Amino acid sequence: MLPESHVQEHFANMEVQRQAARLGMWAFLGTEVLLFAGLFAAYAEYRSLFHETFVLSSRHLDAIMATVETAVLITGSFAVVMAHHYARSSRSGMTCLSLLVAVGTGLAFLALHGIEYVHHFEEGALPGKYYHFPEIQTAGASMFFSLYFLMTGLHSLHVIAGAGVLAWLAWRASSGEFSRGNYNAVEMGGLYWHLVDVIWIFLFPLLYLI
Amino acid sequence: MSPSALDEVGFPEHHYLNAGTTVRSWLLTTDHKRIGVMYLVAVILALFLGGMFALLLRFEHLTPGPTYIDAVTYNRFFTLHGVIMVWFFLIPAIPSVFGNFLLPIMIGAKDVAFPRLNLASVYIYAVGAAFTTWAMIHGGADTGWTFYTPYSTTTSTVVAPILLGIFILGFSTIVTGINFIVTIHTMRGPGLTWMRLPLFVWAIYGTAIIQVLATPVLGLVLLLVGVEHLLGFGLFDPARGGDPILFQHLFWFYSHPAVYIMILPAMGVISETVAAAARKNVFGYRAVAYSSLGIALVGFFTWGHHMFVAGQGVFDAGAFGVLSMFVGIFTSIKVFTWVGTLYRGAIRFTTPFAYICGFLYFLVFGGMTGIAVATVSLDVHWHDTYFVVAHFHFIMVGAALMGFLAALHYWFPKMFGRMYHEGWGLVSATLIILGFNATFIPQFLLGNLGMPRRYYDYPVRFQSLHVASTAGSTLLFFGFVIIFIYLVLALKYGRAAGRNPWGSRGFEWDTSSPPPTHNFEQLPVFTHGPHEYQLAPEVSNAA
Amino acid sequence: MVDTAEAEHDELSPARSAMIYLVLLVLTVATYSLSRLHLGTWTLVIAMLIAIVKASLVALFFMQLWYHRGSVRLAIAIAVLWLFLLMFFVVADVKTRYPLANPTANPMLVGPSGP
Repeated sequence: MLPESHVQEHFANMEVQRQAARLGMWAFLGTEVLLFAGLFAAYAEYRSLFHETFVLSSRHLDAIMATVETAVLITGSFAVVMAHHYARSSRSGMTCLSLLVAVGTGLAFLALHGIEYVHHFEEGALPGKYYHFPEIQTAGASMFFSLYFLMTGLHSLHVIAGAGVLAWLAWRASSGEFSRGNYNAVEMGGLYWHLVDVIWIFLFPLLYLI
Repeated sequence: MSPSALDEVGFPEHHYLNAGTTVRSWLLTTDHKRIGVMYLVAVILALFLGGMFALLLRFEHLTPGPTYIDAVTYNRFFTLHGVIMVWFFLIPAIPSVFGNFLLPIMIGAKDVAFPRLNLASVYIYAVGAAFTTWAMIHGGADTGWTFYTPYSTTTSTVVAPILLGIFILGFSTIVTGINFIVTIHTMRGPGLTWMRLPLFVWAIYGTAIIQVLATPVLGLVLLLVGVEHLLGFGLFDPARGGDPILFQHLFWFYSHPAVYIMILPAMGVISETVAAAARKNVFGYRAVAYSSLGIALVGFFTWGHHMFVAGQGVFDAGAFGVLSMFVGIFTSIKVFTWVGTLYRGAIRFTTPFAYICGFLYFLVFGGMTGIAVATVSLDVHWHDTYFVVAHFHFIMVGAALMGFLAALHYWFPKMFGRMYHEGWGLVSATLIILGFNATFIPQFLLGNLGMPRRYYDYPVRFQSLHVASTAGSTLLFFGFVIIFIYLVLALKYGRAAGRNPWGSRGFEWDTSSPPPTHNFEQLPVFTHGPHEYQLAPEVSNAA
Repeated sequence: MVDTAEAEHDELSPARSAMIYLVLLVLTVATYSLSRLHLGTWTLVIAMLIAIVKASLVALFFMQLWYHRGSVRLAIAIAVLWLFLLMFFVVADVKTRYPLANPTANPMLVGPSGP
């Protein structure tokens, strides 16, 4: 398959198409950063207002679990980098496998997170009006958990979306679609996954390690 | 340039409108020009719907107290008026219609960077509109278009579907913004350096930057309001330690730059049309180009001027007051360059020029009142009065809408290949400018006298000003109806415009009117910038 | 004039990406260990600095910003700056507000569940 046959009609050549896809995806990643920005701003405000309660509530979260989750997502990022490398080297089997490993890390992350959530449900550490955790009853505790669930919840939605995209790319890779002249999609999907990882890199210390 | 074959009246035989006449060819099109036309239909519908709500409000204000609707209905009407006008008309009007249609042509490209995404943005708009319409039919919210907490999180009116409709529409805006940024960066034709770009493209570029940076924050804050309304998370609830002013920060972080999404494209239109109307090179090209970026970026540093009396901290109040002054500098620069372009130009008084005149007048006076309300000590008196309402209508209707009408009348021949009736064009422009003044100057006076905004009732001493404002709005309405009629008639009966009826040296006039599906018979190579009237007529980039 | 391509040979190698992966894991463990040291407010400051290093490694190398052109770097830099813009003015607000206007001053606010 000639590389040029993958060029869409309105682009001058493959390099322009690749650069356009890259800039477009990065602009989209910029919008994701700004989507989370409001939550970071809310966190900053309420942390400065309810500092002691936030520290207490944060100590109550499972930092070891979160460290494992961080390592899991970073492994997923590495897998995606390898998928990109294999796609450019026209190695479909390895591309597909690497992408599936990344999907696996996403699912593992969600499972671990789910365990955390169940734990919080059981003890009543829930957002807003549902909060009934007897150990921490100072002002601002329900606010911490509102932010915790909102930030990790929105992040988890993005993990699900990212895993879905990677799974779809893995399926396309398994049919031999990607090669040296056509690997844009793997690179773009990879960028999205890396962003999901980067957001968690910041959520981890802010929520778990105050 | 070899133009496409013309028929006996000078109309191109093959162009983007007759290349495929099935409904499917329109619904599945990836042609940016057809997408622009579909958006035109959508925003005109939105304009009439939003305008209808405005008239209903004005008629209620003919008398103090109840006139023909009750207070809750009145609140629902001003909410819907704001929501429809801001999100379904003003934000998409110029970028999604004229930006889509013209951007690729102006830079010598066959289409935008992501044509299928472009089509998706139309459907996303439609879905967002559907949710909002559904909410409207079920009574609508009564929170105002600004959805301030804690009322929006506790009201029993239909808030969630409207929030969802706007949230979905936000994606249409973001997709359009990304598309335009990438197109301008990667698809400029050979020889088209940044400093040879048409000023409309610079304006669209600045607008796209705002769309991409601001809209996600709106998405988040609407989501948070919905979550709090439905699930009681308490993020803005004082009883749980929440801060209602946090909502205002997040909301205005988007909504102030949003007003620059509305005005910046209009400024781009004026930059194009003044050069064409005066048949003179643009005065101060670089100043205008950089000012477009300046407005896009500095516009983000000013949002707290909507919150001077909300209770925000003194540092923010002071900082936002000062920063709000800076953004006015860029608009002033542009006004000087437009006037400088017109000065000693060979001006023909056409309908687009009438709108240019209206635009300049409304932008200057509306803009000055903006600087006035940006002064904290003055805003303490004017905040939440009709003074602010008049200020933003001067800019949004007086300037932005005049810009839209100027664009519509200037590029109508390019888009549809026909000319409209010039006489009626001037008549309706006059009606609109006069009607606008009659509607909103009384509102400045009302606001100064203390008439609060969003109030259903008022003291009887304000009645004569309200009646004057309502009379003006009726005049405005007739102006729009006349425009609609002659433009629709022109689609079928207008005389063939020819490639370049204005004698403009803008790049888009080098290709036929209407353009072929792929925009050009031959992709242009750029050897000079637009609007260079000192060059001989035969020297065009498409040669 | 179309923006020209970056050099194809200048890309992230598998060996380098494996090394960066290991560095990221080490930094993750370091962040956790840091929190066990109980340094008070400094815990979060240092943890955030480590997070910035980690995120930069991912962005520059895994996401290939190191090898790419300016417009892409500018796009993400502005997005991050804007994030700080929003956070700055929100925090500055609560820090300089008339104290009784802050949520903490609410007399009804006894515990997390409100009145």
